Amino acid sequence: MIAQHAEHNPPEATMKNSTPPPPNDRLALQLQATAEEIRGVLGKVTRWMTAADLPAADCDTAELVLAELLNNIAEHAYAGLPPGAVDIQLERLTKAIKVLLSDHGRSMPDGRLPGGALPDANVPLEDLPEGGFGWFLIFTLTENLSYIRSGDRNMLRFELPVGRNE
Amino acid sequence: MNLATETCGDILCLTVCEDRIDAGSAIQFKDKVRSLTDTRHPRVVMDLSQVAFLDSSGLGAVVAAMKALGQDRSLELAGLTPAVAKVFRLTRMERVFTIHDRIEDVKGKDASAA
Repeated sequence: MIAQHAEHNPPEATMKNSTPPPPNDRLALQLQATAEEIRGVLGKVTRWMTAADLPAADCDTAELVLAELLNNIAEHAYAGLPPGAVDIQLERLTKAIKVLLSDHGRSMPDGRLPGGALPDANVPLEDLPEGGFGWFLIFTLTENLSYIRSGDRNMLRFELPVGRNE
Repeated sequence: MNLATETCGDILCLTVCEDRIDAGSAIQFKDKVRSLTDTRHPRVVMDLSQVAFLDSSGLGAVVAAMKALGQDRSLELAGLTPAVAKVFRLTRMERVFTIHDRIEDVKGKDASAA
């Protein structure tokens, strides 16, 4: 029995080896929108970017932008619902990383992106803003940000500039 | 959420022994800081040198911690890592806080003044 198994193994192994490795200029991930899974996915994206020799500052920016967007999905799109799935696709271009985020939570209010104004910090201590920074950071750090509601899905597309630091 | 405190004269040094202050930990962070700063120290200096990542929720929690100290006490920050410094710079919150390069600078000054 064991010998027979051993005989069958080599062709299988050869077939596996002949399959081309997945291209490392793309990364596709799926997660449930919980704080723990969001952290896990951010770690995976950072490792993928580091392995691609991208500058640390670009990795930091990508982690921040994705954290903000994934937290928004968890806290708003899936608010009051069980944590839902989010799909992330990243594609390495020469001077950017192209990102697609999709979820099947609630639509953005009015079916469009919210405003991204910076909360006013020039106010007395007790009035200092404790929130509202998220979309400002997202708009500031991304390019070509777009949102569409497609059927029951939210689709966010944007690019993260890489390798362009002054 | 792990935070360590140390008193240096008038200053309460608060070291954040975590690598992230994010949406998953911001509330815990805020509560912990609030209880640890329930002292009479006029200056609280928060050492963020171990924090490699801070998102907008983490930023909001740091701002909330400063507001909780009130008008007569100050919250200062020290040891911002590049990713954390960037969030403070972009949101212009770096103008709201006194920011020291390293916590040792604060401790050293206090020791020499004493």
